Amino acid sequence: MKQIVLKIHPNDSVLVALTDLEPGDRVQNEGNSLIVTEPIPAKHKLAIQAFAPGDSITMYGVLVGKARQAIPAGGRLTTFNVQHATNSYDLHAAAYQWTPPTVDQWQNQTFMGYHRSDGSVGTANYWLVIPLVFCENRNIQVLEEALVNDLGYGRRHTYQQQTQELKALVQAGRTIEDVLQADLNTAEQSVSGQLQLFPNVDGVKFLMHDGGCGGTRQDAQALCGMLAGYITHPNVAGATVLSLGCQNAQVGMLQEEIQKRSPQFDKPLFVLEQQTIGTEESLISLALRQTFAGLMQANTAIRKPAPLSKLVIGLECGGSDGFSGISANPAVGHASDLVVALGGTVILSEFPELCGVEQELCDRAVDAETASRFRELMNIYAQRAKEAGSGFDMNPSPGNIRDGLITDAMKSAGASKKGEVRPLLRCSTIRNPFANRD
Amino acid sequence: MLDYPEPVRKPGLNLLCTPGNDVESTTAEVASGATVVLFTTGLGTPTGNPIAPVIKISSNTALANRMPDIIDINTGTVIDGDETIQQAGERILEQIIRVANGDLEVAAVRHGQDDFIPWKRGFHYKE
Repeated sequence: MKQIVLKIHPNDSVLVALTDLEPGDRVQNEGNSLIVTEPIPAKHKLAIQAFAPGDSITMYGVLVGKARQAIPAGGRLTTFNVQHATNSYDLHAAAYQWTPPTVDQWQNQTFMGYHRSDGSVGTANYWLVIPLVFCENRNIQVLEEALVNDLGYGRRHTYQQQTQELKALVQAGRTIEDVLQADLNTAEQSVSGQLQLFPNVDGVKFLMHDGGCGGTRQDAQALCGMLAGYITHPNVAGATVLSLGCQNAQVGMLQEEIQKRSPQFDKPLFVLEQQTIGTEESLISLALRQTFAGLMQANTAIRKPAPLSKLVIGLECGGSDGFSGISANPAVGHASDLVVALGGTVILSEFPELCGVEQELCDRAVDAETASRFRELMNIYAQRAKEAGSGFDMNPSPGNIRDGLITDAMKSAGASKKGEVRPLLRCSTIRNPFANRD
Repeated sequence: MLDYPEPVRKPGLNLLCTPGNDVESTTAEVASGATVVLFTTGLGTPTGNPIAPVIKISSNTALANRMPDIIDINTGTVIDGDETIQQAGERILEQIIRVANGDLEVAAVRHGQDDFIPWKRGFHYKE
C-alpha cells in the first residue's frame, strides 16, 4: 500500500500528508491510528496530538512554530492556528563526526571542463559584456542586437511567427474574438540559421543591471566585487566592460576587486570609458573590434578532463512546496554529500531560509570562529530586515503557504536539507562540515 | 562562511550570506564561484543564470508533468515511493557530470533564462 503520511523525524508532533486526506480517514503513526478531522490537502501537515494555544510544534526535529489556537489531534495546521517560532541557539563546539558516503564508483571519473590559469575549471566558456553603471545599459543593448544573431547565438523560438500570423488576421479585418481564438503555429523556428563563428564559445552574455551609481558607496563596492566574481569566474573566457566615467562604481574599484580574486589575472579584458572616448559610434565600434579580438582568443579554449573535485555546486530553492523538504532538497543534500566526499565545493545561501536551523549549522561548523561568524551575519541580516519593516517570519510567499509551508521555520528546516543528507523516516547523524572562511 | 560577494576558496560545504530572493541568491552563488547550480522547486520557477547552467529539480511529479519545459529532474519519485533519497541524489550527481561536460543542455540554457540581479543591501557591515 502506498504511504499516505510521513513523519519526518521521530520527535515530530506533526505528519505530512503525501496525498489529499478527508475527514474520517485513518492514518498510522507508530502503530497508533489517528483519525483525520478535516480535509488536509497533500503537502500540508496534520497534528499528531492535540495542541493548546502556546504549545510548541516540532517538525524535522526542530521547533517550527507555536499553536495560536487549539488544534485537535488529526487537525490541519494553518497560518491561522500556527505562528512562526524558533529555538534560540548557542555556539557550543559540538564534536560531530561526518561519515562520507561511498563514492568509489565516481572516484576516478572526470568531467570535460575549461581549465583556467588559476587552477579553476569551468563547465562552460562565455564572453561577457558588462556595464559598470545603468547609464551604459542602452549601449550594452546596442551591442547585443549587433552581435547575438549574427554570431549564431540567437535562440530558436516560435513567437515571431505567431506575431506574423496575428498581424495577418488584423490586416484581413478579422474580429477581436477571431484573434483570441486564433489557432497559432507552435513549431519551433530556427532564427537565422547561421553557423556559430566561434564554436568553442558557448555564448556572449550581456549582464545589464540597475546599479553602479546613486545608491550607497558600499553598494558600488559590492557590485564591483560581484562583477569581478563573474569576470574571474571559470565559466568566463574574458569580458568587455563599458564605463560611463563619473559613476560610483569606478574602473579602479573593479580592477581592485579582480586583483583580490585573481592576483595573476590573465584573461582578455577590455574596459571602455564613454566620457573619455566621446561619441557613441566610436565607443560601440571600438567595443565591437575588441570583443571580436577577445572572442578569437576565447575560441582557442578546449574542454579537457578534470577531476570531480573541481566542481563548485550552488544550492538554491525557489517556489518551494510542502514536499520540497522531503524529496528534492534531501536528494540534493545527498548529491551535495557525494560532491563533498569527492573533494568538491558546495555553496548554500539564502539566510532567511536558515532561520530555526542555526543550531544544527553551528554544530556542523568546522570551528567556533566559523560558527560565530555565521551567527554574526545572521543577526545583522535579521536586524536589517526588521528595520526595513519586515522579518524572517514574513518570508513564506502566498504560493509557499498555499502549498503547505506555513512558517519560515518550517520552510527553513526543509530548505536546509539541500546541504545535508537525512534519509526519510530516520534521523541520520551523517553530516558534512562546512568550511571555514579563509 | 562567506559574506556577499566573497569568493569561495575552500572545498566542502560553504555558507554564503544572501537574501531569500532566488535570482539575487543564484546571481550571488555564481559570483562566489558556482559553476553548476542545483535549483529545487515545488511550484515551478522558470529561472537560470547567464554563465552557469542551473539544473531545475521538481519536488513532485505533478509539477514535472505540468511544466516539463522548465524541469530537468523529477524527485517526486521519492514521494511516489519509486526511488530512495540516495538513488535520487546519485541520479542528480550523474546529471551534474553530464551538464559539466557540456553534453547536456539544461532547460534554462535552452530557454535563454539569463536572470541576473545584483543584491543591493543599502548598508555595509565591517569585518
